Amino acid sequence: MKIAHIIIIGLSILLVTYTATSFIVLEININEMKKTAIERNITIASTLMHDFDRFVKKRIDDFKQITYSIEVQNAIHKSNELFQKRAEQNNNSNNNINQHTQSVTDTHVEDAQLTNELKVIIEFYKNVYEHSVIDEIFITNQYGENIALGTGISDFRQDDETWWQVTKKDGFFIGKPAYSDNYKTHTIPIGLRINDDAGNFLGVLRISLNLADILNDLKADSKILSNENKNVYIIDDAGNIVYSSKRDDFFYEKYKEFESISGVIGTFESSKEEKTNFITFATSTGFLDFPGFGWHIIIEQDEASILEDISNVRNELIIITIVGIGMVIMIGLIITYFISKSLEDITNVATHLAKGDFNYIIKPSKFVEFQVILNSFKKAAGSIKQLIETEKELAESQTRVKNERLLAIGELSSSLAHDLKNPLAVIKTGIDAIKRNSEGTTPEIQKEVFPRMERAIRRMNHQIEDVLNYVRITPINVKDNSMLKIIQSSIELIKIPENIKIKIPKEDITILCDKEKIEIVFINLILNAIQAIGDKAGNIIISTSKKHTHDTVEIQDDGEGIAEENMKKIFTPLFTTKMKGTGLGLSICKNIIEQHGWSIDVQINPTRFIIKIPHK
Amino acid sequence: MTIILFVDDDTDLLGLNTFMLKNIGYETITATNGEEAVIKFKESAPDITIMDIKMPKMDGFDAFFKMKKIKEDAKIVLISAYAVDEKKVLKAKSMGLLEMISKPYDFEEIENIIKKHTPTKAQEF
Repeated sequence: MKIAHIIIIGLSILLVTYTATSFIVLEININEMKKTAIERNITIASTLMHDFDRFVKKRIDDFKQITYSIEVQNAIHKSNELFQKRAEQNNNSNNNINQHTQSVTDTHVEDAQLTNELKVIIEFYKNVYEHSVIDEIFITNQYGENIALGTGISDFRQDDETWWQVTKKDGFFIGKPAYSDNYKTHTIPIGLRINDDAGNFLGVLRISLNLADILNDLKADSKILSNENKNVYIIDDAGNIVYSSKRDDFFYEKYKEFESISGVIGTFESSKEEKTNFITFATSTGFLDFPGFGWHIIIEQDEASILEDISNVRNELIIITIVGIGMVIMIGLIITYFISKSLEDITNVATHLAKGDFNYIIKPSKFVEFQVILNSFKKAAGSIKQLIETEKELAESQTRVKNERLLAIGELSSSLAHDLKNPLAVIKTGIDAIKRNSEGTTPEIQKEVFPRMERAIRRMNHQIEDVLNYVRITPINVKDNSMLKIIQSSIELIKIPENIKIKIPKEDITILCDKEKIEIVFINLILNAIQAIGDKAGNIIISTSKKHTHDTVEIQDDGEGIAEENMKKIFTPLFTTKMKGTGLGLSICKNIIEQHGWSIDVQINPTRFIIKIPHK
Repeated sequence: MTIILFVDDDTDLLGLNTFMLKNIGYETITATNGEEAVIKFKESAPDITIMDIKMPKMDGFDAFFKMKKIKEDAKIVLISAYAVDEKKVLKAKSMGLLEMISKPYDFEEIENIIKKHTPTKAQEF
């Protein structure tokens, strides 16, 4: 499986989760918004209803003022009395009631003054509200006879009308809105009972309120609400549409959802043709003593209009999701590219390291994590490289030592050949000299030739010994030895010339060593010192000392010193500044010392060889 | 009298050869290294120079070249004990090296070379 796939899948899951969560949150918000919108609509409906009721109450109150007017009451009172008298007269004559009625009507007393007053009132309202508020106004006496007609056409007698009887009984009548051909408008008939101060029934005031006037304010509000995609309806208690902000021709049609309306306020959903309407309603509860018409204000709102903003959000969310998926894939690919590339680089590095190419240049990575890996590689490569180099050096140094040894032996051989040829030449020439001397061993021959020949033989022997000592590294046989004794026996083996004084240490130290070999060392060093001093008077001082970590033995002479440039070379095999030296003496010393695990060093002015013997 | 310059760092060999040459009547001057040899060569103008190659300070070849510079027709014999630088030998030969002899040699060989290259003076003796 590729890392890229995991990243893309991971990011996609993240994105899907995010989107799903967003959708859930959105749904919750949609519900909240619906709720809020509906609640708002209920409030609006209630307020509208309340305002409507207050308005109607105000209008009715205005007209009630008329019923309290003394002139009106007096006029009705007068009319009632007159009517009563006539009725009594008619009763006496036992005439048919119908005929009576007819006669009363015929003879009814219309109060011209009152009529004029009503007309003034109408004019007043017209002036104030700039439209017709009242379409009909008249007053009847307690017998239903019309005594004052402000406007409209009225029968003279109203006592047989239902509205008149309801008004007389309940004090208040409100009729159904109706189109009045007379007034070319919808009107609502209202009846108000006129009482005297004692509360006795005097008569009835009848007004027809212009529906347009009552709905005037509501219409204005509805228009504003229409802009918010809300339709406002007013229906009466029977479910007939009194007003619709949607269309005028709905008038007095049955409101379709009327069955669902019950209670003071409420809400329900209505679905048709794939459209959902939220319907909220408020029922008239009247205002103060005005009981209200029992009408309902309904606000319909389309679900789509509520969710208009939200659906934009939903669309945005979808776009964001699509763009997000695109981005995820892009990011995945980009990350993959970088990671794959980095991994490829790392693999490259690893491959090169595996092949042993430790000089492969590790390119730095842009990513910290990969850099850490690369750093580890770098470190590992460095360590391995160092290890290999150390191994190589070790192997090389071993080979070099071996080679040096072989080379030294080679050189030694040639040196030996050369050096042996000189004494051989001496012997050969010596023999030639003897041959030529027929008289045999003359004193001259004995003096000039024989010692030279003997020396030549000694020299050859010495050469061979030296070479053997150098070439043949025999295993050391260590025992505890007295250093003083070794020094003494070494000195005994050498003929110390008379011009040289040799001092040996006073204090002895016990050393674990091979006596024979260490003697060779001392013999060589003492011989070197003797040769350095030469014929002059001189001293050789041998001293020992005990130190914290090691013991030392020093051999010092005051002879001819070692040139500084030769300091480094003096332990090198075959290096010699002497005519008859083999250049092996100090090499042999060094070999023996190192075989013991000791070290030997040299200082000049005065010449001093220092042997360090570390404590075991 | 024929003057011979004998040069060798081996004093025993030098001593013996001097002894032998004196015995047969040559005057012998000695030197133990190249430098000394060149100085002696200048001072004494020997008839013939017999010189070892391997010597300290200045080797036989270098001494040979210096002597040839001083005196172009100098008669010089080189003695080698061991393998020598062939290039230098060729160069020396091209510059008039008389002979190359190897150690150990018969003294007769030395004697013959001297006689061969210094005939007149030998006759005088």
